[in-house]
Amino acid sequence: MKAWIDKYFSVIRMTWIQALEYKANAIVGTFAIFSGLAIEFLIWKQVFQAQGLTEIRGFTFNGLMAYIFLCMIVGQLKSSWATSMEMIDSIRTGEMNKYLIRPISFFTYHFMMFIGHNSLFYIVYSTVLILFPILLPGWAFPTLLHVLGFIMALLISIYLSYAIYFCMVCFAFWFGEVRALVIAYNISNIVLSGQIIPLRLFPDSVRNIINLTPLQFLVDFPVSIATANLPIKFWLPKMGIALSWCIVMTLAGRVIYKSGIRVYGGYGA
Amino acid sequence: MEDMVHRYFSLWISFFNNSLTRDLEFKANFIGGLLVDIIYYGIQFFFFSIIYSYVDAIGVFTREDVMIFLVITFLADTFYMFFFSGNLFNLNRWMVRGDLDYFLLKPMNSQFMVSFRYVKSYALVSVVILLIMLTTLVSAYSAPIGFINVIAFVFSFLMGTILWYGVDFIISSSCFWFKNFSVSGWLSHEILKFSTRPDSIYTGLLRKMLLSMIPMILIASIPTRTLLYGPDVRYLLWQFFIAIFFFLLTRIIWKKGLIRYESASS
Amino acid sequence: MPIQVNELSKQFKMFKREAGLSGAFRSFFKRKYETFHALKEISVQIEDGEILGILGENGAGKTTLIKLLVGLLHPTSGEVNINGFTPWNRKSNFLKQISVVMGQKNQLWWDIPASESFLLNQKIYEIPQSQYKNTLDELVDLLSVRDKLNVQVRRLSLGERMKMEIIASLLHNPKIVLLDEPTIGLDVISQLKIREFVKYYNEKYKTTFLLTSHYMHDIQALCKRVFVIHKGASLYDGDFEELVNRVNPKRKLLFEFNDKPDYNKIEKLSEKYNFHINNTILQSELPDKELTKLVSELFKLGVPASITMEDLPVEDTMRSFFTDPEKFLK
Repeated sequence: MKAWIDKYFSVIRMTWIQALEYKANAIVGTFAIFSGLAIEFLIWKQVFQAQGLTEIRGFTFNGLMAYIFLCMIVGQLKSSWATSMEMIDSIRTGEMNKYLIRPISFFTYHFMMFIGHNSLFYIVYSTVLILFPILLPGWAFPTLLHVLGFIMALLISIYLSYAIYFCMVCFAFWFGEVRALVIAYNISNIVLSGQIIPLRLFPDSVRNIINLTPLQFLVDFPVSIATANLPIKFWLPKMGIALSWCIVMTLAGRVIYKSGIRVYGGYGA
Repeated sequence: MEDMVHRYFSLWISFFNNSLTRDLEFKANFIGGLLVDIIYYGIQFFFFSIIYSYVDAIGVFTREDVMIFLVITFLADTFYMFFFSGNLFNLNRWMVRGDLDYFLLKPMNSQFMVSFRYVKSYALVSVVILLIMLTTLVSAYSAPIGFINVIAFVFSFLMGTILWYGVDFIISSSCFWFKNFSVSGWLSHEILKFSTRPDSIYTGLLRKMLLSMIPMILIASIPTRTLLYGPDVRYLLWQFFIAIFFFLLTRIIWKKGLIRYESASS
Repeated sequence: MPIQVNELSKQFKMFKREAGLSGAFRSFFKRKYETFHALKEISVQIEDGEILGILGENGAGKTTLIKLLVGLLHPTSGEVNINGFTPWNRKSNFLKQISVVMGQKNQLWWDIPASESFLLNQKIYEIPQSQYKNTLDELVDLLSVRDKLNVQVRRLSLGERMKMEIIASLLHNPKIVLLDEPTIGLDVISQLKIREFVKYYNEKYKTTFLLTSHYMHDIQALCKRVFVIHKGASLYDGDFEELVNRVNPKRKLLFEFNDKPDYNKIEKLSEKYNFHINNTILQSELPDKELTKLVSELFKLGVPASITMEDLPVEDTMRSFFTDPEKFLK
């Protein structure tokens, strides 16, 4: 067990050294959050002012802003899309042979890569999240329990998101170039998981469909917990469903990977 | 002068042929690219349809106006992609890997080469689709849109493209100063986001900035206003001046960047 | 186009990276730089039609020199004059007369046939159609790659790809061609082909070639004159054979006696000369003059069954040269 941890921790450590080389990443990432938030802020301000609204479907303006802000952070933390691109490339070019001949799992190795790449964000955003209730009391995290619930749901979201990406990446075994698929998923996922507009504001018909998919657990679920938009009694049953999705996606990933590796030609090697 | 225009035009045609030959090799990419575009458009429409289910108009933009605005933002984006995104986006990689050396050794203007070398040929399909959509929306528009508006729109749109080229070029060229600036594409994308929302939401200092230093309002909002509400000479002149200013700035930055590249690398 | 280089120097700042995670963390906030002298007051003259070999270890400054000569870099001080042009002004008329082939990089587009990239170069260099056609025909036949012209570059072998790169770089009939490691990674036959081609082309068109290579066979086959750079400074400029002789003037002798020679006399000889003997076969490595003396002494001992004299392998000689170049030249 210790050897296992050592092995995969060294992967994370490697990505840290790499990440520190590129401090621009952290700066642009933070800029992206704030500029994105500024745009959402301005557009919703117009909506509230133009119609003279005080709330939309239970969201006050402040509540909506807190929700959108947290959504952006969660959205960035769970997105393993850069890692997915690397994985596709390594399958396509045959570079993944080097994982096949080493005692290392393709799934776990890249999961650690993804955690490592995102570490810088984890540090920056943890600070932001700690400051959040202090600077803007009452906007989110009413109790410590909400913080704990948020962290639990966030961890589930990060894992679930990776497992979904992994399934898609594995189609590269058959089709080689599946980047378009991942990009298409990534774009639609940004809106459909509630990262830009809260799911609650969606038309009911759309929402009912989304509720049948794991998408609701990626962003909306952790953020609804943090902003107290989801009553506590729903937490555990929802987490149960989310965990079931994790198991389903992991198993699906395994099956696809196993049969994919059989057709894998090791092109380019 | 005429010779030069002719030479560079025929060079661009060669670039295009070259790129098309390559893109046709990868049919899946061709279809995939189109698919991604369509999903992206769909998602944006979805976003605004939700917003407009809670509001009648954002500033001057009614629901009907915003649909046209959206198509214009897509058109601006795709039109730009067709010419430039295969190039400026890769500048950092070319610099790090040394491919830039081969560009500099060609007997032609190096800024032209790095700006136009790779044409994203499949964006042309999207451009055509969007033009059809725009024509349909405009002819169904509740108020009549005159010929003058269309001419002024074309001018305004082209100025917007030059402007975006200027901003993106400056961001991409900063790799000469930062050594490895692999996030330039991401940064450009984040800044461009300001142009994809109707300009009425920007007020005060931010609005002034987005009209001058970071002229994102001039890329899609002003062309839309020109098309729908008629040309405003002040806006058009302003666009023209800012476009020229940014273009000259790219010349200066490119030259300075090259000097830096030449004296800093090994 | 004669090339004149006067006291050319180049230095640049290098980011000094500290090792490990904590080092990376420290560099995140504060970067340390140090000045690196890549070239120190290099002077050299190259005549038309010459093939000059540029030698040096990795990091000695060969590539920097080449980049300065084609104008990819600005020097810190010094001058380069190539037929009246200063390279780093990168005038079109200058660029049309030079060409660079870098063995480790490619200018051909990976996913399309080489012929497409050639057409693009025709446009870029403004080569008239008839000239383009003739040149391409000739080059394609010389390098025997006609049947590969319409194959995507990524499907070509390394050797074929390099031949295509060379064609792409010669289409505009440049007066000066810089070959930076053109045979790197190629098999022996491809190396030989490329060498023969360069030699033929140089003789036919009097094109000036500047060549860097790690394969001393390339240098030996092509370059009469070499220019050696060591730690950024010029160390040797002259005849390659002479350099080899200076580094290792020794030749190898194999002297086979008909019968076993007189042991005592051999013993005596071995006090004066360095050799070893195994039954009837005597082997020795000595400088030329001594070796001739030894041979004449050996003749006195008996009639030989066979004698062979040969130069030591140039590859080995140069390897020992580069372990400490200064030792051999001072």
